[in-house]
Amino acid sequence: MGRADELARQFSRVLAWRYALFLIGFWVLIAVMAAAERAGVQRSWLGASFLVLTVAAYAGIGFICRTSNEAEYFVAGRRVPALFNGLATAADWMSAASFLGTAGVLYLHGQAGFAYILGWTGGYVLLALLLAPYLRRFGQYTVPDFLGERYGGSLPRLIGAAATVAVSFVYLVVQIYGVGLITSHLTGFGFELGIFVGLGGVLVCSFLGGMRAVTWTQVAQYLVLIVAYLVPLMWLSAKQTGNMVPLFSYSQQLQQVAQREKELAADPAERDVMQQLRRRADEAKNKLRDVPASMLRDEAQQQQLVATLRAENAPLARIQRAEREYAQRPRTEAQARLLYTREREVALASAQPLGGMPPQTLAFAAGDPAGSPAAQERFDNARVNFIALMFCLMMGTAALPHVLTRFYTTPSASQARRSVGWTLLFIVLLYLCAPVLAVLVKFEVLHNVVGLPMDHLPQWISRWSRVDPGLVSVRDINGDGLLQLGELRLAGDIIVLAAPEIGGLPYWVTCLVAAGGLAAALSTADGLLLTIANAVSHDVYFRIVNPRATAAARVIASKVLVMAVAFLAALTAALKLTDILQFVSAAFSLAAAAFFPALVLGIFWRRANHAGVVAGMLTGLGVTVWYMVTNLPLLRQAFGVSRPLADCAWFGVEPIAAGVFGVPAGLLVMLLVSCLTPGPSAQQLALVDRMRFPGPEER
Amino acid sequence: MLVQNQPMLGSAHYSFWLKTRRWTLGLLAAWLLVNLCVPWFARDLDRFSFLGFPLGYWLAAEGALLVYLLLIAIYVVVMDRLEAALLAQTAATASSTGAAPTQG
Repeated sequence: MGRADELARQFSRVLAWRYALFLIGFWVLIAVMAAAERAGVQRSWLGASFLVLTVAAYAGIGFICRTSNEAEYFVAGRRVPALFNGLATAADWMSAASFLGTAGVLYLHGQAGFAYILGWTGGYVLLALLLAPYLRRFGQYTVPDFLGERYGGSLPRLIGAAATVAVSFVYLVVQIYGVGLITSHLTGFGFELGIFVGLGGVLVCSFLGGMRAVTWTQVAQYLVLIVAYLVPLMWLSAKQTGNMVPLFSYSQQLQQVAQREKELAADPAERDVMQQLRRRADEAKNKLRDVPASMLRDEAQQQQLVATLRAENAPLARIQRAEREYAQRPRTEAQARLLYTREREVALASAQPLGGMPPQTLAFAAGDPAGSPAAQERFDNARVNFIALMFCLMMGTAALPHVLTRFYTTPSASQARRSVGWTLLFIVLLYLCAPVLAVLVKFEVLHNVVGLPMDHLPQWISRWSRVDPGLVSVRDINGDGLLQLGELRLAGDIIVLAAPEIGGLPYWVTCLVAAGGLAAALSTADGLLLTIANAVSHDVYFRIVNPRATAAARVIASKVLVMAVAFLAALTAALKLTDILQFVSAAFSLAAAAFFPALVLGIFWRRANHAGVVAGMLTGLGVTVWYMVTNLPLLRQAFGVSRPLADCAWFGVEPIAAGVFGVPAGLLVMLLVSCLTPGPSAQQLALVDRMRFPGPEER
Repeated sequence: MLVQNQPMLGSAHYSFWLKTRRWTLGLLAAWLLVNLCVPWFARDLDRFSFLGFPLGYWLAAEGALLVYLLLIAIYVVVMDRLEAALLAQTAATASSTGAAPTQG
């Protein structure tokens, strides 16, 4: 073993050198871009070259690592050292939503966002203690593989493969959607072209080199994304507090934010805005009473506004805005109804103190444990939902197939345990920073943006609202010519992307952040693509349809599927179904309900058997889907659920956390059915023992 | 193939698995305690201050994440030791006959 250890150490050293070189190259690229900006190179060129060069680097790594060998293609030869598997898993796990969204959620929803931070990190404890080392010792290729061998028969494997494909595909579409958004915003390419440029980088990796290429690109992508997150954060922090490492010292910023929030809550201008917004909500409600008449009235008003503006020789921008509003008016009654309903909802949501954002230092701000009975109920409800969502995300994190398969690639079970530790360390590095970034951006907005005259707003506001008014919008609601907090609407998704501009940093930092977001989206897309393709090619085609397929045929089948799935996902993303975003969090609930009890009991309970797991997985999935269908407005509509929403919710839990019901239900049914049916075969019991105890090869 | 790779299961394996389950359960209990207490008592914890932060805020933003890391670190060290001890024991008694398989 001494010789193998020496070889492994040498391999790690070589890898460390290569990635150090990569990192140096990346810093050189950053320096060149910074110099180019100072020399006056056009902004769109800066953005395009940042994105194209990083994607080219990933594709290059993928090309170097191309392989058709089965073990290399499916599990990277099982010789990825723990530290590097940790880096790769961290990139695999952190999606566009983690990178771009987490700080935004904390900015908009205050401490409610901690449910995501705790859920997405605490899940790794479950992964390390209950799953990763045991799955590594089992040592096949996919998660359905485990279900198939542990429980026998094809049904557990098929259910597992179907759940893998469903969960991963939703997730994949959202990643590709994120790729399209980032590239189109920063380069001026169209959304569809952006998707295909990004997808090209992904495809070169998964298609040519499978898990091997994906692993080594993901390590590079982690380095890019963490640099892209830390640079603006440290810069902003140095500007605001004079301290580059704000982890423990940003408390002063937090206190100042809390202080300013108090001032703004009592500000008469803010109260005026709230009142005006409430009036608008009432107006929208009136319009909804007779939609056709309101449409006619609105149209006449808009026409008249354009005419008056032209007659007054008003500034061109104002005329154009009025014309655009007129051109975009609703044409059918259904459109108008939707528009008025949304107007009312938006107005009501912003008619809250601080523009609807809870104070940053107050937990469960929706309610008050010492207030009226209604406030107490809201407090308890917020608390229950926080905990439900947190546990759901934890169990989902531990059960996501594309993360689990990464732990098949380490050399041993011991390395798999270590690797989970490294993964969590690298993930925590980013999640520790997200609340800091949220507070620093909020400080900047509350102190330096709110209160500015409307015609002297910083450039980022007009730039981003031109890209999409849904991301940033400003309206002088009370007409005092000054910006109130209630008049500024920021979408959570742009807090990270716009942070450098909000803080007044140069434009190349924005490009760097975008490159980081792209790395996060691409690395996750890579892992997902491979997981879907392997579930179909390995678990369905090879294990069930054609068990005599050769290793080479299996690799080719997987490659063909990678192509097919990628194009299918790109086409779905190109439809811009924004509704699909709602289902990302649903993916965690589904993964938890489908896999968590089945995997954990399969390892820790010898008596768990075929009938039990089939019943348990189907029950878990069934309960979760049932809860979503009866509680998510979109699905209620699609399935024509007529029972009132209040009767459908259990304990007031939101549908996003449906897994908290699905997992226990599946667990109970699995226990019950397993006990009532004959126990597992001797071969299956032998597999359990093999997973639990280190074999002689681990000596 | 599977049966051939079977380790001989004896009392060493039995006590290894008992210890493994105890450690796993103990660490999970600590994990659960953090997960329940930090959100449930957030408002009460916020009355105390830590490094200038309200305590509840700090625990959710930083403290709990560090506890998770610590739990995994402990598990890594403990399991490496338990496994090394088991492997040493089975190597020492390799020539003796194996006992009946244990039930987990």
